[in-house]
Order: sequence, then structure tokens, then C-alpha cells
Amino acid sequence: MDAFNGRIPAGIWGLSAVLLAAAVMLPFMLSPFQIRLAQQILLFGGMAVAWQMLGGFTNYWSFGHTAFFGLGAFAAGLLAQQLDPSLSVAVKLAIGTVFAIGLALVAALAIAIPVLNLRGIYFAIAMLAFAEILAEITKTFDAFHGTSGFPLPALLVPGLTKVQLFYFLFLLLFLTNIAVFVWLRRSRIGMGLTCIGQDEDTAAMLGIPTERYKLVAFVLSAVLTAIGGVLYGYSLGFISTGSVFRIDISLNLILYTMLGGIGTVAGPIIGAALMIVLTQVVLGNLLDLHMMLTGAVLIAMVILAPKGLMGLARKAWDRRRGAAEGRP
Amino acid sequence: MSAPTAGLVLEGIDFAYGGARALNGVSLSVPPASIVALLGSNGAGKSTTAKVIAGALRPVRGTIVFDGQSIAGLPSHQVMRRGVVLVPEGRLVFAQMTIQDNLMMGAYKENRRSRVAALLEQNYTTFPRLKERRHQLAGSLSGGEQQMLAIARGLMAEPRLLVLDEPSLGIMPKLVQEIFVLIRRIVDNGMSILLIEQNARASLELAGYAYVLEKGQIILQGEGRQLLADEFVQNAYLGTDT
Repeated sequence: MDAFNGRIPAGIWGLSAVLLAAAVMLPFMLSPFQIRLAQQILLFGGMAVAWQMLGGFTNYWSFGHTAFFGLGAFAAGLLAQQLDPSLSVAVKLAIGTVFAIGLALVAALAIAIPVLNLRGIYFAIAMLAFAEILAEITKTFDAFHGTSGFPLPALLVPGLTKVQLFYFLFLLLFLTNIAVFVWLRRSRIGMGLTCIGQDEDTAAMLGIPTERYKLVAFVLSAVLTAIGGVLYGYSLGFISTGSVFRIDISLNLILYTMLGGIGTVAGPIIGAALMIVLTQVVLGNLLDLHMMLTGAVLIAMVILAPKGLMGLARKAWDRRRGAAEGRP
Repeated sequence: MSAPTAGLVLEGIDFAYGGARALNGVSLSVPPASIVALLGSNGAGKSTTAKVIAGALRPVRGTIVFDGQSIAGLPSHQVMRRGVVLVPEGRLVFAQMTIQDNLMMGAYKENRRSRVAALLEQNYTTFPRLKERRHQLAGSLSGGEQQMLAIARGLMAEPRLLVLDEPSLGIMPKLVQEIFVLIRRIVDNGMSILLIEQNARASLELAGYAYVLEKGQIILQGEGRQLLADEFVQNAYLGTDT
């Protein structure tokens, strides 16, 4: 196979190892504010990678991934209140994660049957609505404490500060998401999904079980996003509907992916890093402005560089190589 | 295998898009190792027939039997596993993938790498033009070359029946010739072909048997040469360039 099963070059492995080593050392060198920024890059960059498992290959762009994020946070948080108080917080977190995975799996399967048959913009809108419905449910029924919010147990590990601890948990999820994405992209399912993205009817005609593959990608994406919600909820220590069912989370995942370069591993991560630094550091004091900037960046990227920064870099690289070989 | 059930047999196929009737009791058959042409003007229901056979559309009524087994209502990925492959109209290649990857996707159902490699080699022998450019994006090919790629991709699935929907549409005459020569060669290898065409003259010269579809109904059928001489066909489909 040309593009799918080639060996991962040694250079990529080397670079990944260096970056990983740096990522492990960072929280011991940065200030708490800087670690918090890095946390967000890991969490939301990692979730953008998870979003891509469906949206990166196919034209099924979920505009409602916060549904699974909030679902995970609420499932783990509400469960923690029901569990025996004498259990350690780490055990509660572990049980909550398993519960959230199960719930996200069921929810994704249930919603997939109607929505995955909707193409393009209709799928996007259906997912947007799904997220809104879940958010409304948590606000309307008192059992979910969505309006007033509720606390989650505080996870402590000796030797690590709270920001350092969650930094490492987010890093773990981040690495998991990348591993799953890379595996998916190189598998038969990834090949099939790529074809679905280009022309779904033709893909079906070639014998690709399109329905099944879309389902696998959607469920993987949903489950990993839900785990993100669990960890985020625990890192906040107190959640309400407004803090985890957020349309800006859904939109940011798409923005990071578009900005960095859809379909690549590095793209969403670079996109997340740029936008998070830009909105929280550069524009940190102008809170109202960052949503406007987010919108402007998205529009500019869609028009000027639909393949994102990675696409621009690749184009520049190709041109340089072309020039070196004496081609026009 | 008993003679009457071998090959493809459609009987009494009805299909409607919503309320609009597209096929009305279409019956036709494609015996093994033969070329059968399905002619008709725009909107006669040719592509609908192709899609119904390939499983992309589910017929309202009627039976589709291939080599003795019913394939009506099966999803398209299962129809193609039974050996019926459609090369859709408009040469729908994956433009953003390389030519080689496009071909590989044709052999998607095949798990054995060695078999895929052999098929690839076989197709590159048939289509040397594709081999030269195998690492280029399919979108960079000309219309005629994309059609060849679409046919080659269909052949990668090792079909026993290849349904070609308008392979000559929008392609320069020289390449059309080349494509028709290829079709001949494919049948020599034991495959059968249902050739769906507006280009009546070329198809009738090639086909052993032909059907004429008009407003969703088969209005005429017969041997290719015989239809070529038919007065109605000459007036309606062969035009005045005789």
C-alpha cells in the first residue's frame, strides 16, 4: 500500500520520543499557570484527535462532541456520590471511568443508528441538537443537579501537586488517543473510512461495509471523548451543566483540527496549542474578544488554507523539493 | 450449474424514486462470458437498472438472480462479494488518492496480499498507462484515463459480471475506441459484461445481445447485429450519421 501501510519512519519515532520526554519533564519546570495551559493543550488537543476518528476521514463532522464530554463528566461525578464514601478517590475515578465508557458506548450506539444515516450538514446539525438535548436533560431533572452543580471528590497523589497530577492524567489520555488514531488510520477500517470521505456510494460499491466502519469510528471517538470528560470533571472538582456541556468545546475541537490540518496527528495538537496560547495568554485580559477571534481564525483557515497549517507546510516542502530537483 | 440459471437474470423489476416510477417490469439476462448491451436515451432508467443490480437501490418488485442465487435487496458490499461489480457512471475515482491506492481499494475484499499484488500486476499489464503514473493522484488523470482506472479498479475485485455504466461518456473518441477494445479483451478472459451505453453503434457492434430501454420499460431486444439493422433503432439511436 502506498499511503496506508508504510513503515513509520525512524525520524518520526525519534521526534516522538524527544517530545514525550520533554512532556514528562515540563510540569516540574513550569509555573502552575503554565502547567494549566499545557493541561488544556493536552486535553483538548487530544480530544480533537479523537474527534478526527470520524470527522478527519469522512465528511461526518460532529458539531456536538461536547455531548459525550459532558456525559462522561456527569456519569463519573454522579456515580462518585453514590459509591461507598470509604473507597479511595482513585478507585472512584477508575470505577467512574469504566461507567462513563459503558454509558458513552450505549449512547453512541443508540444515537448512531439515526444520525449516521444523515449526510453532511444534517449530521452536523443532528449532533448539535443531541448535545443540546443532553444538556437540557441535566438541567431539567433535579436528580442530575445540572443547574446547581455538584462537587467531585478531590484526587490526591503524594509528591505531586494537583495541576501536575492532572497534567499527567491528561497526557495519558492524549497518548491513548494518538495511539488509537494512528492504529485506526493504518488499519483496513481507516482505508475504508478514507474512501467513505471521498465518495461514500462508490466506497459501498467497492465492498466496503460503510455503515459498520462509520459506527466503529463514531463509537471510538465518543468513548475517548467521554473519558476526557471524566478527567476534566475530576480536575475541576465541581461541575454543572454550564461547565461541561459547552458548545464552545464542540466548536473548538473542529477549529483546532482545521487550523492545524485535518487528517494528521500533529495538526489538531498544533492547532490546540496555538489557539489556547493565543486566547489565554495573548488575549487573556480581553475575555470577550477571544470568541470573536476564534470565529475569525476559523473563517480565514477555511478560505485560505483548507488543509490547515500542516497542509501549508507540506505544500512549501513540496515546492522546495520541486525546486531542488529543477522542476517548475 | 444448469443453463437457465447461470449468469444474471432480472425479472419484472419495478423501481420508483419516491412517487416517480423509474423502472417498470424490466426483465433481462446476461449469460456467462458474454457482452450484453443496454441502450436507451437520457432518463430511460439505464443507471437506475445498474444501481438496482449492484444493490445500491432496492427494487420495489421483481427478482434478481445471479448464478442461481437471489441478490435482490442485498447491500452493495455483499452483491460485489458474489461477483457482480458496478463501474459507476461518471468515473467516480477517489481523486485525492493515488492511482495505486484506488486500485488497491478495488481489491478491498481480498485479504491475501500476494493475491492483491498479482491482480495489480495483471491490471498494470492491461493498462500500462496506469502503471506509469501509479503514484500520482487519480484526480490528475484525464477523463478517459480516469475511466480506465475505474474499470481497472472494478477488475481488481475479480468480478464474474462487470456492469459498465456509460464508459464512453464524455471521453474523446480515440480513447473510447481503446476502451471498447479492452471490453472485448475482458470477455475473452471469461467474464461477462453488461454494457450500459448511449453510444449505440459501438455497443451494438460489440454486444452479442442487446436491450433497448425507454421510459423504464424494455421496448426492444435482439442480437446486436440485428438491432444495428433495425429501422427503429437506426432512427432513434444511430442518428443521421449513417
